[in-house]
Amino acid sequence: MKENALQEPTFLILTALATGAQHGYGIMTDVADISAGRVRLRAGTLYAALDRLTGENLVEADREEIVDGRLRRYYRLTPAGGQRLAAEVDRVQANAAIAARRLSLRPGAIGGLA
Amino acid sequence: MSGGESLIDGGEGLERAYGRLLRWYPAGHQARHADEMLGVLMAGAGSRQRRPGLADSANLIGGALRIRIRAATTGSAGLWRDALARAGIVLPLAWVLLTLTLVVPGIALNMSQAGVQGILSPSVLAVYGQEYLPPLVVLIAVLLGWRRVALAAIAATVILDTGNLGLRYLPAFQPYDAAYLAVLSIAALALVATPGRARALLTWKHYLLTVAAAVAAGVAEHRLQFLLTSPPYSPRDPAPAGWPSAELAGLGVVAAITVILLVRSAASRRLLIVLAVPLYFYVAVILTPVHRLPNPLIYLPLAALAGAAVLLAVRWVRTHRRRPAAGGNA
Repeated sequence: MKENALQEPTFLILTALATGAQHGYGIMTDVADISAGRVRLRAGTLYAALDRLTGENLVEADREEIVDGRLRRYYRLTPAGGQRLAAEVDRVQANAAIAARRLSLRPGAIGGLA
Repeated sequence: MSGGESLIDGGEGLERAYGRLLRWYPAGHQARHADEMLGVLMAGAGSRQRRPGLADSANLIGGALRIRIRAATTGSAGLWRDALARAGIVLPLAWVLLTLTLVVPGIALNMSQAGVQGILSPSVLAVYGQEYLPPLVVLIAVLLGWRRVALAAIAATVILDTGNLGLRYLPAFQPYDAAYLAVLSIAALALVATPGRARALLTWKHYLLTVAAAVAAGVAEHRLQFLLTSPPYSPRDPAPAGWPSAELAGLGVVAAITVILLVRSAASRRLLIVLAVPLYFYVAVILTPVHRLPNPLIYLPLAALAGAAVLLAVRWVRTHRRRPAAGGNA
């Protein structure tokens, strides 16, 4: 069965974890960086997404550490999560390529036929 | 601004406030993530922040609700489907038995007063036929697995009954009618969404329990109606018949066994939730001797049932559009 497109926050969380494990606050700041400040995850959204992604076996806990007396848990992509992100990247790239090609064919487009 | 001590106090107050918001989360999630989430929330808080912002609070509560809803629904679709399938047989069966239990004393009285002719007169037969034949047809069709016959019988009954009530007796649309409508609606939903599933799920124990519970409910309703509608006691009158202790004990045993079996497993608890709307109206039938409820108490539960039916129908249509070959037609 075909998979649905990922929601943007989910896509950005998986992207934040693509290079290695991160803790919750690290994911939040990384998502803000990746999206150039456009998407700012709040804790409720992040942990609801992590709960779902963990349930779907796309993300898993990596390790825990205690910092300033408080638990810090790191999350990482599972192999299935990596595949899901790669598939989404392919899908977005294919759509973007078609959109770019069609735009370039528009009359008056810069670099187009007209 | 005061000194560092009040800032620390403010931080502790903020942490306590965040802690209170985290109580919205399921216990398991709290145990695993509360400390970690507090760390994230405190790291993201402003240095002078003393209480959670409105957006943060709403976001935390929304996240908690999403997790709770997911926990309640994910992985349990099969249990809900089984519960609905069981209700599709249990409810019509209980309804017919319940009405039979209630009508038998009346038939016996008619026979004792007017003989067999008393119950075979066209007018009496017409009343009984109109009231008791449709659910009996539905029940037989459901038990035999005649899905289309059952659906047609339900549709005809609902259209005739609600049309009749809607056109002529709208103010009289009361718990009894609502309970009947709810029973038929759930049976129809089960026939559409879980074709052929119920008969495989129900064992003789389920049928036995349904029979016992329905007959017990009928006896209890009969007794309660009598007690609730009896004239007030007066010192000179002998007390009207009370509730015989043997009967009360028997009903208590049946009720206790039914409740224990219904809350014992996750599937049965879901069955109890599916039965909630008709049970609500049935309790209203018993407890309101003149069968009167304010309209919202009638229509809101029915609207909830209708909403669930629409959601289920949409989901069923979407599933079958995606996989047209998967549809059953028992």
